[in-house]
Amino acid sequence: MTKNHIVKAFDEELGELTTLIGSMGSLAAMLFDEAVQALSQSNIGMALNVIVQDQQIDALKRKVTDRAALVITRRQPVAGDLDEILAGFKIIEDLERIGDLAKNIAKRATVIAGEPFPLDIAEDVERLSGLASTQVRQGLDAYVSRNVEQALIIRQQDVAIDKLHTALFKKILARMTEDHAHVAGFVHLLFCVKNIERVGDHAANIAEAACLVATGVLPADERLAHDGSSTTPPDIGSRDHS
Amino acid sequence: MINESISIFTAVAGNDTNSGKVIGPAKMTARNLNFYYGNFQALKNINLDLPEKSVTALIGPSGCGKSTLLRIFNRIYAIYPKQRATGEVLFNGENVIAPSYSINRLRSRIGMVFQKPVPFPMTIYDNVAYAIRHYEKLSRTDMDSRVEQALRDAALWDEAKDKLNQSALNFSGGQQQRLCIARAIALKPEVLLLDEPTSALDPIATAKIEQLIEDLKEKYTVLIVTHNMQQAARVSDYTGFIFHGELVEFGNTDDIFTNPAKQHTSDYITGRFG
Repeated sequence: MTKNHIVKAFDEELGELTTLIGSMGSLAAMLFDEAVQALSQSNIGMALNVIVQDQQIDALKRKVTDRAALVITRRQPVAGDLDEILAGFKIIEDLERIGDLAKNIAKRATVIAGEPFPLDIAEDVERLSGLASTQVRQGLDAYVSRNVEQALIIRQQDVAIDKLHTALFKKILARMTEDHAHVAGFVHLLFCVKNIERVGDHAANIAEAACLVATGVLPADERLAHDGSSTTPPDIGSRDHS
Repeated sequence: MINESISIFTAVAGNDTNSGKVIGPAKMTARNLNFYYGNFQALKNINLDLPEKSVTALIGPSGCGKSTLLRIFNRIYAIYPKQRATGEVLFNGENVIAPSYSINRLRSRIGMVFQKPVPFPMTIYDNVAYAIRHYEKLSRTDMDSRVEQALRDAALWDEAKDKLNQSALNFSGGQQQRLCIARAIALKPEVLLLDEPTSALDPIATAKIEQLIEDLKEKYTVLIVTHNMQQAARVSDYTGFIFHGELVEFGNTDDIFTNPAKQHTSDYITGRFG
């Protein structure tokens, strides 16, 4: 949208919604980063802080919902304006889930703090979370800047996260069969990496909502899942670390 | 020129549109229609189909030509010497703007309701019976039946049945407008033209007229001009956006108000100019 509305307050209200969603996104991305950091550094204090701060995301979601409802009531938006508000509703659902996933990672981080995870696995977790975090931030940038090209790239990049997650899942599973003393810790870690992969999915959802805002339509092609962890056979053992 | 002539004809005869709805056969068709107020050209090469037994809305800013277009469909302009139309408006295969097409015949087939309700200063019964008497010789019983049916179709019977011999001027604005609709449909027209029929009414009366429009399309083809875009979105099946005398976009109302094809349409319906 290049032209302003005749009623300036309408533009201000839509701008306020975008700003609030941007703030909610920044907070969700920050909590996700801190949750992963708490996990990798066994930082219980940071983990507890993430758990508490998740409430702020929920509060922001309520605020955005209330404001959006007011805009609908006052302005009765249509066409691109309606897309913008509907996309906003989609995005805050994804951001709330990212907050929930960060909180779950943080909770598990408090349980497995001090567990001696192999270095290669720790590095992969860091790589995976780095990719997911970048995706979330870039997805939000694409939404705020109405950049459809960037949004489509982000959507495509979810494949890399899925593939890395599948490989990491197999690697952790293999280590579990070798190191029975730390099975419980590895199980928590498996949940954590799944949560990180899900954050990548939510980032791709945000990118799709950004496409809706920028073009008025969602991407036509179906987003294919490349996460093979759910079809990994139980006897993988130490034979396959790929 | 905003666009080349919009070929609605290609959309008729069953082509799918964005929403998947299929536009039905046309009851009336404007072809290469131009209209002039003296030397001023108010409508430029309009090509438009009114799908049968549907509600079509015309939207656009003041002075764009939407009311002018509506009024061509029953040749209201013919009473003004310096106004003229060129092109065709086809109705059951005949060009109704041709001088050879009887105006009396046209007005009995195509009813019209105006912005301000204008009941005649006579009883409710006579308001509805007046035009029927002009066209048909009915027995008292048949006339009673016809008046009742028109009032029923206009959702006014329950409010009017005990006051048929009272002055129509005692009705509220909303009731008067429904009476005007009853008067129009008493002739059993095939098309109803509504020129901003609710702009002078309160929200409750407006809601009753909107419900009535929804009911009327089961029997009639309706063309409505409205400044209220939410009303167009609510009551119409198809919408045409007119700007500077040109039909910028025509399509299923759901598509026009959710995903218009033209940026110009989008800017107008979202309140970015007007």
